[in-house]
Amino acid sequence: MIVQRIINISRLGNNVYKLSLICSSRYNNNYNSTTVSRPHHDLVFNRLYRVQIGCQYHTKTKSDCHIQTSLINGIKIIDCAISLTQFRHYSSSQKTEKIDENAPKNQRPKAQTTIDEEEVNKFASQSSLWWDEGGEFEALHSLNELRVPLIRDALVSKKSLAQYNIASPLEGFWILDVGSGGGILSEPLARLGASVIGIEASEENIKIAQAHLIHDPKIRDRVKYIQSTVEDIAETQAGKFDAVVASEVLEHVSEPQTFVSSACKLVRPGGSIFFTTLNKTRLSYALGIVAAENILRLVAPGTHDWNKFVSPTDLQKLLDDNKFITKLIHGMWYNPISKRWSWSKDTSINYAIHAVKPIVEGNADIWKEQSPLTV
Amino acid sequence: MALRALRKLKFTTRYSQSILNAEVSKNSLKCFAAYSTQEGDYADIVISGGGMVGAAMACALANNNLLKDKRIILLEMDRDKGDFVLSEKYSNRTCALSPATARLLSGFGAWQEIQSLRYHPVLRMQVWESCADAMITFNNDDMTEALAYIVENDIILAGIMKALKSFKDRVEVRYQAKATSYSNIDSQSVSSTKLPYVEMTLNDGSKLRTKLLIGADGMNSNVRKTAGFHTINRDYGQTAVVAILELGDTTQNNTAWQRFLPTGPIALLPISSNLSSLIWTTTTENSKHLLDIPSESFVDAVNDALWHEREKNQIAGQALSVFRNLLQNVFPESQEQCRQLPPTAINVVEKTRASFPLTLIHSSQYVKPRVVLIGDAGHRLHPLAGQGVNLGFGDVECLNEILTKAVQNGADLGSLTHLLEFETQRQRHNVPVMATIDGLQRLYSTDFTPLVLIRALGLHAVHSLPVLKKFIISRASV
Repeated sequence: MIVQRIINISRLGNNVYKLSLICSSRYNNNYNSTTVSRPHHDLVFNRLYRVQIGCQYHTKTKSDCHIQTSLINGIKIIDCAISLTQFRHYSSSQKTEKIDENAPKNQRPKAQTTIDEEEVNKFASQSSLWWDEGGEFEALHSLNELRVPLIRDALVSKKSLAQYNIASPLEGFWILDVGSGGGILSEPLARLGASVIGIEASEENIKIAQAHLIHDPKIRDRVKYIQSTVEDIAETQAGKFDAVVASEVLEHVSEPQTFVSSACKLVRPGGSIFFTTLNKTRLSYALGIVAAENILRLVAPGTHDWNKFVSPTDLQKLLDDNKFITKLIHGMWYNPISKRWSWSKDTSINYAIHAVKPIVEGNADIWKEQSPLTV
Repeated sequence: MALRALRKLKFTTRYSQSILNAEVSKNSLKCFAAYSTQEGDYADIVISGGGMVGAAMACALANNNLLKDKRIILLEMDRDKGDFVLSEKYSNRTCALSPATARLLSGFGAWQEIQSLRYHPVLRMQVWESCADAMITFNNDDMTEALAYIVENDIILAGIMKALKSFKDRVEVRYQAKATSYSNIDSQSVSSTKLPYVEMTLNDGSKLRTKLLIGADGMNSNVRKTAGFHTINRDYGQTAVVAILELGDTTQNNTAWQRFLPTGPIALLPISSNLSSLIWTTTTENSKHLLDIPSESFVDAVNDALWHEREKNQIAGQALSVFRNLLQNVFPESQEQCRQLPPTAINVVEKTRASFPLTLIHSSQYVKPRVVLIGDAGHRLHPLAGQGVNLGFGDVECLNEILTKAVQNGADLGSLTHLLEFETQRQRHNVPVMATIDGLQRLYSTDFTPLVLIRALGLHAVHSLPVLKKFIISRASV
């Protein structure tokens, strides 16, 4: 989506503005003749501002018109000639460019709205790998029954009752899904109202995730997948996210220390970080590798390397080093017969950890004044 | 040039359409805008079949606050019947609604509508047989709470449809609409894993895509057949004869009567102070005969079936009296209620005699990715205990709960992970009920002495032991 023209801006409250925009889309012809109207969307278009836009996008031509006026109703618009999804995620156009510079030159813009139909079809056939619920990633699908409520309940507790919308409890939260894969966790979080950015190292996985996402009109504008790593975006996006989730990722990371500190950097003061991973115990070797990979074939052999596993105490230590406060550590058990997960006191195989970044003097954050959602 | 003009025209019509929608309601604007993307219409949930169970499903979902931003479409083959006019005459198709069903229906206002029309409570139930003296009665303490409510089918449907109309901004009911073909519905095909929705073509040629297709299209379910669900069928070789009977000498007509005959059970369900609904399961030849004979002979045949003693088994009778004395000595506190005599039919209401064949259909699975079967589409059973429709309403309640949980977890509505939980819960409940009813049906369809003996003693044991009986009542009313 490209912003063509801003029709009107009205001020709703302290640093909250309502923008009415006309946008054009880069979709193929199918999309060109449709009218999409979207009354409420959160946009972060400057770190200082959280902007609500009410926009009507409709396309007449395929050409992208750049906006001429930059001053409407006395409010200066920094740059509107960038795609909406990028516009939403980065503080300014300069930063957007910065990220693009790091990326390979021949690569397409990464916003999911710019994927073309051909690629959707190509990757849709591969998406069965990730999205077949009885397939290879069955355990990840059913893990949603534990991790989604964990994230939901931890974040929702920060909202006041008046702000709580039962149908989309995570509305207004920005979540970074580290290692988003095929989007198994990103999509449910977006369905709960959160704006999700999934980062993933594999380009193929990103395309699979996008090809699947595009069929869900309700959430496809709230999720964006970026080919990147935590370390890469830690600098530019520091302190941007209400929550950072690294689910079933840590056990694949070679340098957990850097990984954890980068992930921590991305969390805004007052925000949360979540990990789910495998413990480094004899039992986790016996069950997590020998049984799950070689005997029961729950996951492909060679998926996990026991030496990379991190114990909860080590992880908590890493979080302490980054001045995070650990809120809970829960064990998780997988029943291979019922194929369901359940919470447990025993953290010796799988466990989940939730920690928060305290708000302290010095980092007294801008969100505190600007965002209506900050505690 | 021409092409561009055409495109422009297309654009303007679409645009004005959306403006039109915007005026109708803010809500629908949101929906329309978000879904009118590419090929055809989109709904989060499509319910195929607006019968009692399908319409109740629509009401339950519409009444669910968590689903308030979901678009729900109900496809009904029939036309919109408009406001229901209560006829003086009673219909011969009735259901025995359990208290659990009444609770479910009152949750979204349908039970209140039914109460304002016509219903009749059953306070007591008596079951006995023609080959032995054993009998069993059921009633709640003090005979105040109803065991079941007898309601005519068209009144149940009218009550639910009226409740549904009060949710009209939440559920879109499409009358005279049905899907003529489905795609992505069979999990065997490659495309179903490729595209995360079910697509169907409707009889008006339009296309509709959905995340979750609920098949509530009855015993001959098209959804079940197209999706390739494996089913178990049994033709009982029996036919049910229904009629409305006028009873003599009843003061309070609030007992449901059921007598097992070797040819099948005959049941009288009270629908007013002097009328009862007859459901007589019998052989197909006999049913033809019963429909042909004059009213007087039909009434005589009914009374004969309720009262005759010619099939009494001597051995079973003696064994039973021994067993009765024994029980009386071992459990002195056990109940021995006096037997109530069954009523006598004095007349059959004109033009209420009808018949339908009986079959058992059970689908081995209730769910597939993005498809779920509820009600008769998944399981149809013998009308012997009046459980059929209650199982369907139980499906509605359970599916509503499961979908609530799915939404709370942000799950895709059509995802198999939670649909399988629905299947597990419902099969755990439905299969024993179906097996019991099927077993009872077989047990009572013989006059072979050892079996007569076993069932007579068993029935009497249950009747005399309050604990066992309470358990059965509580199971039957869930």
